[in-house]
Amino acid sequence: MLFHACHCLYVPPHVLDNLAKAGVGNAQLTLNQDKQARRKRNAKEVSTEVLAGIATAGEGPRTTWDCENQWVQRVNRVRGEGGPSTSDDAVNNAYDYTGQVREYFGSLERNSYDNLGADIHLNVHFGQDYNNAFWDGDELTFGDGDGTIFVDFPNSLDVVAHEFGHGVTQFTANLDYYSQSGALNESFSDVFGSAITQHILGQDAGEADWLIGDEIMGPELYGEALRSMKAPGTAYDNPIMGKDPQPDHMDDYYPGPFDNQGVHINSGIPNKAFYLVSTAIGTDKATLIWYHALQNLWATAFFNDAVAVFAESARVLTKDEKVPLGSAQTVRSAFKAVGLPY
Amino acid sequence: MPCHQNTKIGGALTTRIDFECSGGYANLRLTYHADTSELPQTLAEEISSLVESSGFFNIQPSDLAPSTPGPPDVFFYRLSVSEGRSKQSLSCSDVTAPATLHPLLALLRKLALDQRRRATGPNAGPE
Repeated sequence: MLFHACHCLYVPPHVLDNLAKAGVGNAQLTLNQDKQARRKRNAKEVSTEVLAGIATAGEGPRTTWDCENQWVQRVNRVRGEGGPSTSDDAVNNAYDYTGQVREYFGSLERNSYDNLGADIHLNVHFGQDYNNAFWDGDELTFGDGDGTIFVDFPNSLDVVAHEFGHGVTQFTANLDYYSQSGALNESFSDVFGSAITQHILGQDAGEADWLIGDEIMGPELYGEALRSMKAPGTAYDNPIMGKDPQPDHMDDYYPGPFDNQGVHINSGIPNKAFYLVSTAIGTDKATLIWYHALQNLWATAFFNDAVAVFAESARVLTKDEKVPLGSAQTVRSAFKAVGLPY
Repeated sequence: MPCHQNTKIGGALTTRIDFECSGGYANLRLTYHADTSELPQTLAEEISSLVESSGFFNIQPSDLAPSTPGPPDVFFYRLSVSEGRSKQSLSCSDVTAPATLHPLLALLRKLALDQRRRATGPNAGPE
């Protein structure tokens, strides 16, 4: 027995971790559930839309909250699932883009970020001049930017999909936000941001710009981006932000302590691999492989671990005729091009 | 612990600020170091006021220190403040910081960017 009433584990977490690596699915699920329970012990809410019979339970109803520039979440509920648009672009864009992201994951047969139809809470106008957006474990939060270097974080599908992607990762591999597992965590979010944006815009891999964050650049940094999946290290070079530190190969791997040992830096390496696979077989097919792999990774996975899982996912999906024959070889070649496995 | 004299400017104690902000969606890395005795009086008073309203010196650092890396894309902060005989250093994130501390963090982020602009702008002197 793995659970009893107090949500304690009879099996120690490190044993579950090893079982998860060996592909024992229930162990991975149990580990994720335990970590989630330890992190946030909020009671699961039932949205008023579900109670009123407007939304179907299991479709991840959206609730948008206006933080009214306070440093607090969920201040004023301004739009619920199915509710009318408002005069506030931040509210409407967060709502609409989240709907597109939810629908994309629905096409992958995923029901909200947790695959159980969790309510999706969106906080806009968080704080004052807040140059950021984040996923905190159960809701998305967006700042307005300071209007100079960054603007309107919820007005970018890239940003919304990226943060929602962290939720998906939390309820699948639950990659630790540190070092290589953290870089994989960040990379998966950039992958979903790019893939969903391309899907909505009807772009193929050749047409896409493969830039992350270009839509939120303010007047002072207009034309820059935060990351480039096509050419990591080239997204920006300016006095305010410095130079893009992302490597595109393991030869330039960042081993230092900043940014939780480089989660936003070393993500450039798997990002480049995804770009290469996408240009070979198409972004939607590459995303199928990546999403399949995400469900088979584990919290402490390193880059070398992930390469093997990506290749295996490609092989399985090839057998199921979901991706073209030769995709496993394409994946291995892409990772070899970025120096993996090392 | 270094001894700080109770030097007053405009009726307020001078304050030493050492601030670092890192991470976030854009992976910013901002630092700000200042002694309020060297700042315009209005700004010095604003900083001191926010230090006071945040209850900074009464915060238990262990209450705010993140116990695990993450959550994803939050800012992480290291802040040391010395004011008279009071000195406090703490680490926190956007989700562990209390709402009362956020206005001070927001001002220090802005000042860090302003300092960087002055250091790299057209009128910046040689390094």
